[in-house]
Amino acid sequence: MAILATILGSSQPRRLLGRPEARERVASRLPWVLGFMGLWAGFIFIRLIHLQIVEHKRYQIRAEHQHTVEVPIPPVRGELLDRRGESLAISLKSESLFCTPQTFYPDYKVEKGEERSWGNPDVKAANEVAVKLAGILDIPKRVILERLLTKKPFVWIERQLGPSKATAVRALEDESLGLLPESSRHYPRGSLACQILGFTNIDGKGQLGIEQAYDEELSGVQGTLIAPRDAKGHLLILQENYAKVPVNGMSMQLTIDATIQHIVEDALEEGVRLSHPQTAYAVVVDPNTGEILAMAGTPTFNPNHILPAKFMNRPMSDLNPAERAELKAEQERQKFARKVHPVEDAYEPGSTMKIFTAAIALEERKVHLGEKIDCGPGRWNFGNNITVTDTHHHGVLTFEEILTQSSNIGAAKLGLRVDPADHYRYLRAFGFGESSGLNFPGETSGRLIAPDRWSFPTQITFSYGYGLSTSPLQILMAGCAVANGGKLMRPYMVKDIYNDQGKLLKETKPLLRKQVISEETSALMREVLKGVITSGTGKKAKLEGVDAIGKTGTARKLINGQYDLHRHYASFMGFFPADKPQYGMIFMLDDPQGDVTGGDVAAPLFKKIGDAIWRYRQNSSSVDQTPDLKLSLRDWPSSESDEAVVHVERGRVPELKGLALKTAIQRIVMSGGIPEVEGRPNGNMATRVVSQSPEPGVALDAKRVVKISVGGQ
Amino acid sequence: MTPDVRRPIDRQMLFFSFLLMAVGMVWIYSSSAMKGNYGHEAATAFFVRQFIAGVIGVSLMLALSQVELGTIRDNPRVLQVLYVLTVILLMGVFFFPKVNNAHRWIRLFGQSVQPSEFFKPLSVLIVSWWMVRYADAWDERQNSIPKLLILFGILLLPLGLVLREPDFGTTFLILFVSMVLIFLGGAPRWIFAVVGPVLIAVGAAFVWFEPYRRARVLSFLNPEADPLGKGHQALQSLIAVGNGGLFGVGVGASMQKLHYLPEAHTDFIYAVIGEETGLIGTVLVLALFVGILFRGYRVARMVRDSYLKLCAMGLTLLLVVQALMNMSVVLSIAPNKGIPLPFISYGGTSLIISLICLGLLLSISKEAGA
Repeated sequence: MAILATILGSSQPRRLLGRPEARERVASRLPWVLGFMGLWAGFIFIRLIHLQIVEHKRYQIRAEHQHTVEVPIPPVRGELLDRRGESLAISLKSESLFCTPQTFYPDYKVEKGEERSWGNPDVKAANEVAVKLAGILDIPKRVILERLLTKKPFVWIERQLGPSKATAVRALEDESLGLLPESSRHYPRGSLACQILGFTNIDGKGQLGIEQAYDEELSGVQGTLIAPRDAKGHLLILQENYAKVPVNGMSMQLTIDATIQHIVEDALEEGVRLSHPQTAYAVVVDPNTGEILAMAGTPTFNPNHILPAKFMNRPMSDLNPAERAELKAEQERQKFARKVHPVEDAYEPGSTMKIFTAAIALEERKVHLGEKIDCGPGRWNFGNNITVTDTHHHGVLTFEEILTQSSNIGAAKLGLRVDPADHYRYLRAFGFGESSGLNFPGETSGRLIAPDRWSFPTQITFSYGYGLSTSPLQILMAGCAVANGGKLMRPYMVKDIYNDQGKLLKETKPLLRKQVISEETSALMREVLKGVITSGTGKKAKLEGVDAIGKTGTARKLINGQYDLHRHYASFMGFFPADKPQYGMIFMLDDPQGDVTGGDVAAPLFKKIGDAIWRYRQNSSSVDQTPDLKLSLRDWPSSESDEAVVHVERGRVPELKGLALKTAIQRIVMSGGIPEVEGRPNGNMATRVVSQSPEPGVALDAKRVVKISVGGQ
Repeated sequence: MTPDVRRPIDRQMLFFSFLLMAVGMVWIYSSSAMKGNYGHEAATAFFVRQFIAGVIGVSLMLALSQVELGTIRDNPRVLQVLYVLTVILLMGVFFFPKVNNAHRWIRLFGQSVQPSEFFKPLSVLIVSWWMVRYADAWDERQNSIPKLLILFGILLLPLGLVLREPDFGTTFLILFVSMVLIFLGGAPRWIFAVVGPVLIAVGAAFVWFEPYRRARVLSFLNPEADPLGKGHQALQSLIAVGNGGLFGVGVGASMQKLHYLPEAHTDFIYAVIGEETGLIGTVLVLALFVGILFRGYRVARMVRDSYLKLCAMGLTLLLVVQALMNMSVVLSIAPNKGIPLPFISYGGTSLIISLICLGLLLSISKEAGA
């Protein structure tokens, strides 16, 4: 301060300078300046009042308009679970990458109306972005570049990125790119029950099976969130302010038992290996309720990867001829694999049909047990040059033996004892020629012509299974009616429907379609059919530890209007335990090679499945479980902040203890494993993983199964 | 040192200024926290820098409030030295790279300094000195014109450099305050009848032939014409102020500061205050500046010495005119000139210079009514 004082020369004596006139002039002009400044300030004051009071509403609306953005909140697609609560299809949150290509067109202009002029692209800038993206997405740079420069206002670059990729893309902070939340479908059990479950396309629409049949219920309703955002478009979501609340899809518990389904699929594979049929398929139901416990066919596909990874993101033009052929073959195979044979195929059932001929004759009192019927020398001409043949020269057979030895002639004679109108009425009552009532896409009703259109031999051929067609499921349900006391049940696959809060919305109850035959007739038929396995054509179907009943079927295939002598449907329909059936099954091989009869090729596989199911049943509690079905967006780890990005390493068992069940499942799926949940989720939100096997950090083994136990907290 | 027998400083002016500075600290934090985040800095980065500048400024203010400005009148060597130094600094800016398309800053040891700010108080001291020194001349027509031309020449060199940066706002401010001082200092009235229109014409031409200035003025006249382009700032500023209403959206709750308003923490901080505190806040800030104006006016009236009278009014005007200019821009009464709000806007040099002006004013206030 002293220095300053020295510089400014404060030591000099002060004296008054300036003449008085000058001072007065300054004083007289000062108010002018003050007045001017006062006016200015006053003007600002008026302007403030105008803006903040008078015009306030207008600017408020404007501010709100630009500060908020309506964010579509996609609903989470409902889960599909098996009857014991195991997840068969779950939805995980993912994000899809899109691009706004006009950022790469410096001369882009909006002309009048819908017209757009694009001009020349800035290839260099686009190339830079493409190079960066190619590194993250594993897509060739050329393909990305092409998408970036598409002359459209909005282009998808890659759908359904995993969290780590999405985070990497977000880190680029590129203006031309954006991420939209979507959910991606995962099938924890891979190809298991693929044809029943179906799959969803990239837009989340159900394409096959349950996913298609119940698409509306599963998909839910998209919501809208009003979110504040800054000028750079970052969202600042501090509270949930919905313009429209999203409704998550409903979850469905199926009647399918994943374990039985697995048993069946294994057996089918074995059947394919042994007899090389075109296809093999099987259905297992609960005969008393009509619940479908398993339904499968070969070949299968993996709904998690509809296309093999090597064809992903590669245009047709990019493939060499060999790969193109491979892709085509794969697409053909998939098309074939997506056919749900047990409900879509109508076939002539052949010998299996004799059960119904016998049951009708018995119910109508046209025959009694032990009655002897002459089946002749294995060849019977019943007029008009139409003959029925048997495989053996049976001679005189009892009623029971007609079924156990599967005599066509015997069945024809039984059939002819019944009045044609009654015969037809009974067949309709068994459900032939009519939809089974299962809500499943592509289901066939089979074909059963009315008596007024019958020709002379129609009733005879009907008696041993030709001239009418049925789907395997249809005939199985009819067989159940014979075995369960005469009740034709409606088959069903969706047991319970829950909303996203876990509240039961709809429960499917077993539906009796018709009492077809009496309890007594049914009991008699069960006795008779025991003989098929103990002494007849179905000896190879004998189960261990439990008695079964059943009927073999070997039907010639009708090819171009001619029955082919060498091509067959080999089938076995059976039920166990014999006295009070709890499982009903049909097993079919379409055009097996080598042995062709149902007794030789289908019966052993029935045994394989039946034994396994019986063992499984003895060893586990049969209580069906109600799982934790609560779904909410927040339950799923969000892709951005999810620590799983850091923790989950592919091929290694992740640390799961203490996590919520859903998070745990997601991490297992992310690590490449197959989650298997033990213990019963108790249905409230606080379901946590209490133990896991294998231990965290261990490499996944070939089966890739990671078991977790959950319990309440 | 002889004991200081003068009156105490003007405490009300000091109070108003410190209140404004406190308001500034709050809203610099409020409007820059987000920006700090995006720039990967702490949310308090801008606040801390401003606070340090405030501490330096207040020390300088305290020191300067103790000097006796009257001595300069007899000893203009100080002014000459400062003038030369400032001109050298103003030339120096052209050796530093452009920031925001202008050579306004000198960067030394990581600190940015804006030399054009230094010239603001200096111009007041120089013009006042000149007007008092040649007070005799103003009544004689032959004598007054050369004297004014020389003064104009003295101002032209630094002002030309400032304009060259380019910094039209500061140039306008200094020119405006200088004109008022020339008027107050006793220059004949007819001069203003001539010089006023000429300056306006020159200014208009100057604006018209520089595309970016022309764009600013045009966008000011019709901000809605191009809401996403040139009119963007003006419109966003109005939305902020208008959205505030009577009571505002609440301190810290401004949405417009989230990059809708460019320069939310500097030139448009008044808009953020308007949005967050509404009419109450905007009028309070306006009232504080009007308060400074009245206290400065009172000092100018009370002080006996005509040099100090001119200095007091000049320094007051520097602060208040700049504030009103800034508010006019925020409220779209005037085209955007890129001028900060004294005591409030972020900017170390600006705050320190405002405090220096305040210090000098306080030192003059000690003479008031003596």
